[in-house]
Amino acid sequence: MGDHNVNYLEAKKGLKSWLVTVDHKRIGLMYLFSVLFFFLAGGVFALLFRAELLTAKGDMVSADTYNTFFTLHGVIMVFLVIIPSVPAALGNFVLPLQLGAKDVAFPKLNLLSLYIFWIGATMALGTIIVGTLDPTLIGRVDTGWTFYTPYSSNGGTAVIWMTLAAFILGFSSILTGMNFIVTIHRLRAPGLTWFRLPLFIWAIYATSIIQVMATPVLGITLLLLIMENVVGIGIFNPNLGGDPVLFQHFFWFYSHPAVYIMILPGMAVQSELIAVFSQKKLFGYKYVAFSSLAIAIISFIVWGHHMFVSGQSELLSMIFSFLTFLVAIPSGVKIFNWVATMYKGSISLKTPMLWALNFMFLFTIGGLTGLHLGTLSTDVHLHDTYFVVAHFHYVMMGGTLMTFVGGIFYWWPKMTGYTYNENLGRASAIIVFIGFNVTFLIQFVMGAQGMPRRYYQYIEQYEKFHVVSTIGAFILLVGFLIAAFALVQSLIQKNKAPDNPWKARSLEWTHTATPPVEHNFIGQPVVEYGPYDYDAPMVVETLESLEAKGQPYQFSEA
Amino acid sequence: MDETQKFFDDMTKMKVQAANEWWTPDAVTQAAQTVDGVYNLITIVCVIFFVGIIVPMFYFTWKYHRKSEEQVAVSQEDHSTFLEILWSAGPMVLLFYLFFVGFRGFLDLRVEPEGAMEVGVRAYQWGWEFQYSEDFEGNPTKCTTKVNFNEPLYLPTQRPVKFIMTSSDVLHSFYLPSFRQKGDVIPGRYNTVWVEAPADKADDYTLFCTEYCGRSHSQMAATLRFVDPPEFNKWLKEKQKTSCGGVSLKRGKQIYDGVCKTCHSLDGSKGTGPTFKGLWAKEETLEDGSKVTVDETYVQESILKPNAKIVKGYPAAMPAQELDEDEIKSMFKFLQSVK
Ligand code: HEC
Ligand SMILES: [Cu+2]
Ligand SMILES: [Cu+2]
Repeated sequence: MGDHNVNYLEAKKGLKSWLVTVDHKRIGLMYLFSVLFFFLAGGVFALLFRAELLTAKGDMVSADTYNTFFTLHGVIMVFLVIIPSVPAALGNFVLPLQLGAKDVAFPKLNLLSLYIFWIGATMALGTIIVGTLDPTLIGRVDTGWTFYTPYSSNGGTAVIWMTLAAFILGFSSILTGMNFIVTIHRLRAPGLTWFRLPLFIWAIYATSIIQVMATPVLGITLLLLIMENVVGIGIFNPNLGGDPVLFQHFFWFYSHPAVYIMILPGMAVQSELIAVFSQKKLFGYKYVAFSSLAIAIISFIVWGHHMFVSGQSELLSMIFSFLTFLVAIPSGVKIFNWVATMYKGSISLKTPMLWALNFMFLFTIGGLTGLHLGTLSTDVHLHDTYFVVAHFHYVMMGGTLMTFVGGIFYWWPKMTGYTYNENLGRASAIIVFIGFNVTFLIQFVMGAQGMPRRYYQYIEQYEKFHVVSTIGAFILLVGFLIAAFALVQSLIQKNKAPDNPWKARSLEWTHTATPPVEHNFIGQPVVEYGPYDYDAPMVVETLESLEAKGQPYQFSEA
Repeated sequence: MDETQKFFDDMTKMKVQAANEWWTPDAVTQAAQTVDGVYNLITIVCVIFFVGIIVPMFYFTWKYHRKSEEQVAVSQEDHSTFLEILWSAGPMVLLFYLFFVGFRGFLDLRVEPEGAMEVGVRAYQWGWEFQYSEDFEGNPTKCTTKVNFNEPLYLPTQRPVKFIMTSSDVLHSFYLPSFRQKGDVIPGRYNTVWVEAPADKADDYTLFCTEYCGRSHSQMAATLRFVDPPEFNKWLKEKQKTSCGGVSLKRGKQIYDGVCKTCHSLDGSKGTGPTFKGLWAKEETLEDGSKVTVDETYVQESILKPNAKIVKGYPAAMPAQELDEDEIKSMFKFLQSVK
């Protein structure tokens, strides 16, 4: 046993102490570095195919290689980066701290989810590598991240392995989700009522509910795929009497909610950053909190908007289009409330806030262009073109990824105990902002002009747009490299961070050291005010400290 | 495979007519113009909302910028029921309107007018085959006239054309940007798309595949040539001569160019499938090591049930072909001619 008052990084030493740890902070860090590694891999594939797309003719790599590149980019970014990014990496680190708890409800289960994540990731990468080196063995992984049948069932067993990997990864997120739900219900500090929870917790709570409810559908889909490929029962394959469109229903029944598994956590971080760096109560707290739950529920009934041109009945398309418009409202409500929070605040433009402003700008574009796609008549034209590619990059990358990086810069001092170079951090945010818009804004134009997605070769008319987009991708590379440099440099320079550099009011900043001690807090923190009550006098009390003063803790709603 | 490469390279020269290359392509039909109207409307709504969100955001960042460490927020105002209702209900009304106009335009795109000329479309890995069974006036053709996408596919102006589409293998999608029309092409099912080009819009329009379908997905671009009705009829009559002409070497060559060329070469080089050079009467080694002579029976089986016997060293990647008896016999003639 280490000394409980020593910080969690130094409490125990050696590789083994990391691999068998049940400390949510260490597990969070291991998730974080795994995710960052996969982000690098996914990014490299993107740069490779953006380079191929510089010219209209397919000339740099073969069509098969190109198809593998975009598939790997999609699979890695969705399943190994965006889905685990905020919930598993930041959530694991921050959630128990914000709740005033010593750990998550089931620490060992938490470690198990990390291992399951690693197994799933290894399996996904293994399939990719085997499939690419020798396609005759299991077939190439060249189906796109959507694995549509019957193309995916013709190529060999690779798709089974990939779906199995996705399912194992899903298991990891189901376990994390359950763990978080129980932790939020059971381990809140005295005085931490539901409406005193930081909005980060609310959004993670909504995410966890979707994870637990939607991911099993992916499992069912996999079972059906296996039954078809191994036993020969016709389900999706028309040659066996199956229905290929059925697969799309199954896939999107999971994957549309999964879109919100990806974006809600981004919104979670965003609420924290906007409030802290404006030093102002979050405007419309309850509306923002409940909008997360509304999104979680409606997200289950809009999947058919991916299938407007699939021959699905017009009536069904009408209903799905209508419901899709409904889900726009709670997202809009969040944006309006964030802007209103900044009104009359005291706004500090530190690195995390710049990433939060990136989110606001980019996610707004992403959300609004969703209207073009949710509207039936325009979607017929834009479906499966670069317009869609631009739209979901603005939402997923402009949304979740920006706040993920913002969140890293926000909690980095807490995680490591060191401060980074503010100028480098800001420069990275600005360069990424520029690179992002250069890469993706032009893709809306391409899509409107009719450029289909997943094209290896294209008509020359689109070439100039592609050149711009590729240049943007390399600007993005520079931006992210600077961000990485700033973080690595902080570990080398070792400039000690203060306990609460951002003047935040949530427990991870007020009640524990930077970096936190092994069991998070010395004593049991009590909460006397809301998470964003920057005007209230700071109270840093624990059950024990109140006891010592002879004023035992009593809950008051004030 | 040089000829194939040239075919692919030529594809990159195709055009999607666009007077304004920063917006949507030129709209050929009334329905397409309506779609553009909705597109423009939504874009205006987006710009208004975007400005309404981002301008205040930047203004607040500038106006309430923290100038000293001690500076605190001017106000801690944290809710307004009025605003919440305003910014939930306001957009809701607008969104319902967008939903409604979108749905109306969608019905226009989906429901074809009376008396459309029906054209069959068969998509395969990787190409398109159009099947004509009537001319402009609706007189039946001698036989189902098949035309492949390696040449322009003719269609008449001034009459609605309804494409009845199915796929031989995997999913494809039939996309005509200039008409704002799209429909997935699904094996084992029929999906439809309709268009009508007015007289003054006789021109070449590009067809794309927009559902990822494997290696040559991006090389399924085809030219749809809309011409005056008499010219269309004349072309169709010409096509019937080869298509309905029984067994001929020419017909075999035509099928090869249209369908088999992407996988089988004539010059001995190895593609997705074995070369056709010197194939006829050759002793072929199969996957399980057994040998078979390439004759009528074997070739017919290779075409109709390609996976029954797999050539050693090749994947089971050949899709089953839907050729009729005359077409298969024409193919024999063609294969015999490739020495
Ligand atoms: C998608 C690619 C593809 C297309 C298109 C294709 N084939 Fe094939 N074909 C193959 C492959 C791969 C093989 C070898 C594996 C096998 O035996 O099934 C093959 C094998 C054959 C063989 C046996 C060759 C041998 O060496 O014994 C014949 C005959 C044949 N194809 C005819 C055709 C004809 C005729 C067409 C056009 C109507 C056609 N193929 C279109 C991929 C294709
Ligand atoms: Cu969706
Ligand atoms: Cu395709």
